[in-house]
Amino acid sequence: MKKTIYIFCVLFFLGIVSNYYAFSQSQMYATIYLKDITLVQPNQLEFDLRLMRNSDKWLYWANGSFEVGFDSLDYKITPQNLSIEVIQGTSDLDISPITGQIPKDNYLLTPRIFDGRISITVAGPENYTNAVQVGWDTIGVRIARFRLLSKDGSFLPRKMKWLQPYYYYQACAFKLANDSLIIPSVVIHYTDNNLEMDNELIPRVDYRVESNYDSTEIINFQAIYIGQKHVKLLWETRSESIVKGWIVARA
Amino acid sequence: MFSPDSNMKRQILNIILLIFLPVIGLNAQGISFDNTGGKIINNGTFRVRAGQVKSLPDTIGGRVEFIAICNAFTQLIPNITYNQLQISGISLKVIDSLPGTNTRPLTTQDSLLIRDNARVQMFKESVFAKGTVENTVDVEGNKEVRMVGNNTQNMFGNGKYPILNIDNPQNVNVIKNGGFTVKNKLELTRGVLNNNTGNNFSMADSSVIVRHSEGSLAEEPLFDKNVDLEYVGTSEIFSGKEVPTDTTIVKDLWVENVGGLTLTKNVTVKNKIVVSTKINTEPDSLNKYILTLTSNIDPVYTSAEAEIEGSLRRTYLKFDSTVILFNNRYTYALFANESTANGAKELTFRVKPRTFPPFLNGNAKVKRYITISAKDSNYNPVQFGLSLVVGYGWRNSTDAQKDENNGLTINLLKLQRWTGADWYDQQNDAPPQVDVVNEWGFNSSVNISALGDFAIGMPGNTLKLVLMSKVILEGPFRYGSMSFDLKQKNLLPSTPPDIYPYNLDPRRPTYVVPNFPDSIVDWIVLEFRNKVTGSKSKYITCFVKSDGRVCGRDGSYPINLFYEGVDSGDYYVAVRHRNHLSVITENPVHIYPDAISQKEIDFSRPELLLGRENALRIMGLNSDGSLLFGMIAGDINGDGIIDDKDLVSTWEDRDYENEYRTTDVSMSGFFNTRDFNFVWNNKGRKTFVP
Repeated sequence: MKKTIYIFCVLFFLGIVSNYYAFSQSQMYATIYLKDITLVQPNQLEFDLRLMRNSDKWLYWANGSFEVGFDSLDYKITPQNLSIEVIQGTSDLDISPITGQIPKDNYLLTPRIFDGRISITVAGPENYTNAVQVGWDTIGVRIARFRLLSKDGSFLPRKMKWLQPYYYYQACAFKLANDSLIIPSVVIHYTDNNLEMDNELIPRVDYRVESNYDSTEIINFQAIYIGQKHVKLLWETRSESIVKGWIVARA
Repeated sequence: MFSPDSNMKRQILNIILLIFLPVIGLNAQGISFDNTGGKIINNGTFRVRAGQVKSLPDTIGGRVEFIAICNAFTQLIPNITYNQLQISGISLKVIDSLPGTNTRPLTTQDSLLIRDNARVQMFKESVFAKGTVENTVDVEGNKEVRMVGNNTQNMFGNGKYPILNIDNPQNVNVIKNGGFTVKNKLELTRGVLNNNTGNNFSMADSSVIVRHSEGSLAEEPLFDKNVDLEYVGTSEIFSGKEVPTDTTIVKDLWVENVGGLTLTKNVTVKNKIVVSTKINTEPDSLNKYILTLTSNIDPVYTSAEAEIEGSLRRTYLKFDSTVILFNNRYTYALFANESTANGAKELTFRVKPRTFPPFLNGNAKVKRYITISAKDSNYNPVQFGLSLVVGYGWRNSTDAQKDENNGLTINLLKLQRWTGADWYDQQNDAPPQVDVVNEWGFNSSVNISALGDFAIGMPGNTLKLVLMSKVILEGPFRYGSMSFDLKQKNLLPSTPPDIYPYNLDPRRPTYVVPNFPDSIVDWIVLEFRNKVTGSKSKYITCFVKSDGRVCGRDGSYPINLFYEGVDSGDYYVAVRHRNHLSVITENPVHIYPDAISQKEIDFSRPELLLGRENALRIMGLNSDGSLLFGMIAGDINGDGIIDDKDLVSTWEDRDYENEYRTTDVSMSGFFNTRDFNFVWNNKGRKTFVP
């Protein structure tokens, strides 16, 4: 009997969690990933910025502002020690050169470094017909792959993060393909308006950093005295990247 | 005078004359009759057909007729006392003194008959008539025919008098259909001139009626185009039938009698009012009349005491910053220009001296009150929306009978308007002044925007001139309220920056807010206009709070307009913000210190705004399902239109953080595509504020 009750409770709990998860997912319009973060060199890091649609509320992506940083207290981002560039040919967007300061028919990527943050601002086309359609799938749209370069030769952290609070640091808007009515016959938003997906109260964009599988992460380290003044060192890694060997220093 | 001692020859001659003259005509062109040194006892008719009389006694009885008929002949009519005097015949008859005799009026004891086609001139001597006067000719001259009988006299005939003076306490009756005309002046010295509609007379054009305290008219005479009225004497006069019913007749009004003139009907003067004493337009509490002056000539008050007590209406207003004088030397209105009159075409000042205002705490005021009213060209009242200067005065005298100061501290006194509930101090007035010599206190009050009842009293009223208003800015609006990130992040400048629209407010540099009140979203500017276009604006730089309320720089809500230098009035009110399209009310807002005006102006209600729904942006739905509107975000450069310039500016400023810049449309302190999208979505929108 006890076992039956226990199983029931577990199932009930799991049901709540799964429903909540499904509910929260249904509120989401999009997910934006920092993906495939790769420390190509100790002073060079690459990552994808990818957009995925989670809702039928929108189809055309308008623009966005994305502010990211390193998940490290030791590394201070400044324009003097870090640069960023778009890796050529990596964007699913039409980022061909524009005339003027803001694009009319295509997209403009402007990655920049500021004190404490890496900014990627994307301006989009004026009309939805020129905007990228984002599929409701697991692929989505790769905004671009970016390369971070240390200017002073220092090693770059491998972990990245989205700056928070999201509402202030991040922005992501879709483009309307039709007028939007608030009540019958009353238009609140017009075709080609850019509508922010989230707001301060209800986040509708899921900002994610896909696990840094390509980083080197030690998950276990042991030192065992085996006699004769010898110590046996054992360590275990979850992942290893650009590792040629190990140097163990005594502290 | 007959005397037994007189010359026997003269006695004999007189007897002969008594017997024969009634039937004898004097026909000589030269001196026809010389009575030098003689005496005439005449019980018959002494008829002077031609020639002159050289000498006559001071008094002659019977009937004397001057009847010369030669057109070229001038016959002198001596200024003696006649019993009966008839003047007729076409020869010119000149009333004058005989050579060597005294100047004095010609007097008739029984009757004066001026008849037929006589030509009579009275340039030398007046005629005093003690009996009946018949006149059927046009008497020339500048001397008067004065009715001075001891008994009731009669007048008739269709002749004309240059000056007619009624000076008979026993009255003078107009009989036999009247019909005479007074050409220059009718003087009502004593007694009543008893005319009536069947027995009336006429006042010629541009004549004058001078009425003394003891004289009057029984009925309104027939007036021509103009008549002047003058009141003289030693006591109060109540206006009577000398005042034409036709309001276009009275040209000048002179009031010089001690005790002044009290009106018993409305009087309209079309040229000039001269007051030496006073005019009272309200004979009692039930009857209140109005004295109207239709010319642009200010009333003349020839003494410091002179005043019009009651209502003076002026229908010719000047809009050139010159004084329009009203009830006394110190009471006036002044319009800087026509727009400050808000359509008013006439003004009426009702001044009640020596009377406490009949409202709350009235007896704590100066013992005088003023009621000001105005009408437009359609005679509709204009009470609000004006901006005039009002001068006012009150008696500040050591004579307790005159003094109205009520023991109040003069230099603190203010003009106060009765709002219907309490007194409201007119603002921004300089301290009063005192005319020590004439014993008046006086001052002027600028920017009188509402008319009505005014008192002069000590300041300290509890009424405030406030503005309750609410506005929603699209940029910072997030689900039911506006964010106040700028305040939370300490990004709000303590002094509004020198950018649009804050630099519209000339007092901007003086504003320093060391500690911001709670929930402040941003600085905004309220603009007050008397007209939608063409009027000088007043600005208040203040705050908008997260719930939309517009508050003062100290966080006070509602805003106290008095402290902001805005007087009451009817204003078009605009709201200006550094990156939103301005809005303005479609109609003037009634801003006055009374309960009626304590309504909130909700600038998120499109029906109140010029441009209606097009002036705002739909933000969502209210809880009752109605549409929620807000001011349109994205006018970065403040030029009233959202265009590519605003877009480019916003794009260029992307990535700023924690700064106070106009490109932060969301007012979050962060600059990114969220701000850009506000501008983009509103591109092409324009302000409706002219």
